[in-house]
Amino acid sequence: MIGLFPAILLGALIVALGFYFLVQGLGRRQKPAVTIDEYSRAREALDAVFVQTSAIERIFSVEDFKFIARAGKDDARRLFLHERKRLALLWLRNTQKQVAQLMDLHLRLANYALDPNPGFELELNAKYGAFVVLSNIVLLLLWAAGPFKATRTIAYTIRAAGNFCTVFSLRLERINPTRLSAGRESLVH
Amino acid sequence: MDTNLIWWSGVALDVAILLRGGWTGLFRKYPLFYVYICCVVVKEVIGMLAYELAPGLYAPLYWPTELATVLASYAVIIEIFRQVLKHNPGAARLAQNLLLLLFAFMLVYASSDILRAGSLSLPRAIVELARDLRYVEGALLLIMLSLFVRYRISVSSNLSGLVFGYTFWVGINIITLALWFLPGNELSVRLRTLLPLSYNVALFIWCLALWAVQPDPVQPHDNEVERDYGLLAAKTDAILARVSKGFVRTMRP
Repeated sequence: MIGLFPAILLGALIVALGFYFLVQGLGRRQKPAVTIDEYSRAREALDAVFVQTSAIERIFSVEDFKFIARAGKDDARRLFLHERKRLALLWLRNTQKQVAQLMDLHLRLANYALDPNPGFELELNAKYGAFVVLSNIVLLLLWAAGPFKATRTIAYTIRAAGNFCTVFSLRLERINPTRLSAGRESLVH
Repeated sequence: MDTNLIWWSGVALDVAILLRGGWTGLFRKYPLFYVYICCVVVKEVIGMLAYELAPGLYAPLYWPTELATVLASYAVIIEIFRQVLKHNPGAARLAQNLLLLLFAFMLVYASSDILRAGSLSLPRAIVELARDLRYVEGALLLIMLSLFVRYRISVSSNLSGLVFGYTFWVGINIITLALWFLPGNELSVRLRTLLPLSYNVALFIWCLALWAVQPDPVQPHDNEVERDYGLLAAKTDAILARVSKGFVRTMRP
């Protein structure tokens, strides 16, 4: 029916996933359950990233680089480039971490919903996967070319990644607003 | 001697699981799993009787009884699906659709495979059918496990042990069967030993996991979660929209 290699791969994947499921279950028993506080903290952390948007915009500002370049000091320019690159990488990694944390919470809670849309969930997962891949490409570009040389390519790539959030709007249309007004402190357990 | 040891230890573990299941009440909680274990015990007893009393019958009986236990093992898949997703209607609905689709596809594929091999002898056809059914089972299990892991579904220690033992057994079984069908390996003694040995390991895992009743993780009330899912989705939407806009704005040259 299937070849030797696919069969061995299938068998190995099943054993590995079974073991992972066991370990995941054991780990979860030690961790506190998901709470609305945990979700709020993730949201606040993300908010904090974008409260500093103006500062982050400066990281990619070519004006600063031109100003330093005009000064003519090689050491200063090198130091400036090094610092900006470090900041850009730090910001991007932090954003990736926050989005991953948010997605993790969403997945942990979404499976309790009574009437989720399979299409929505699959699309969301696909878009999130695209976000992960593209943001890693951006990370690589930042690391290789720095925050000033790669901005055009980065902007193009990131715009594509931005699409993934549009699926959430479709989910929003199916929500009863009266339910949204009431919230609880603890979501699970 | 070694083969007999593996055989007898397997039966002993089967019986221990059944006895503990009856004693702890887990028999009532996971009935389909225990029915499967009962089927295996019956198969083992038939095999042993044939081996001791009528050795000529052993070989013709082996694959049909193996096929019957492969079919019975689908009950364990149903049990895992029922129990793991009992409190997760969302993930259950997703899994159900995906599994039905995959099952239909694999069944058609397996049937065409059997029809293609129409010229085979009956024992060989049974062997191939048992192998194909195991592959279908493996594919179903893989999809189920992916969903369980992706959606971080919490289960009791009993159930996670049951799932792990089963995945171990099915995974090793698929690998062994694939190797078995390689030309020249049909009579491999090592492969013949590996299969019951891996089954004994699975039985040992089940014995440990199902020795005593473990509490289920506390599950939230469905309606409350539905409300919270809405709240969660709304907030997630707003945040990700902001993240996306911020990202694009920041990176724009």
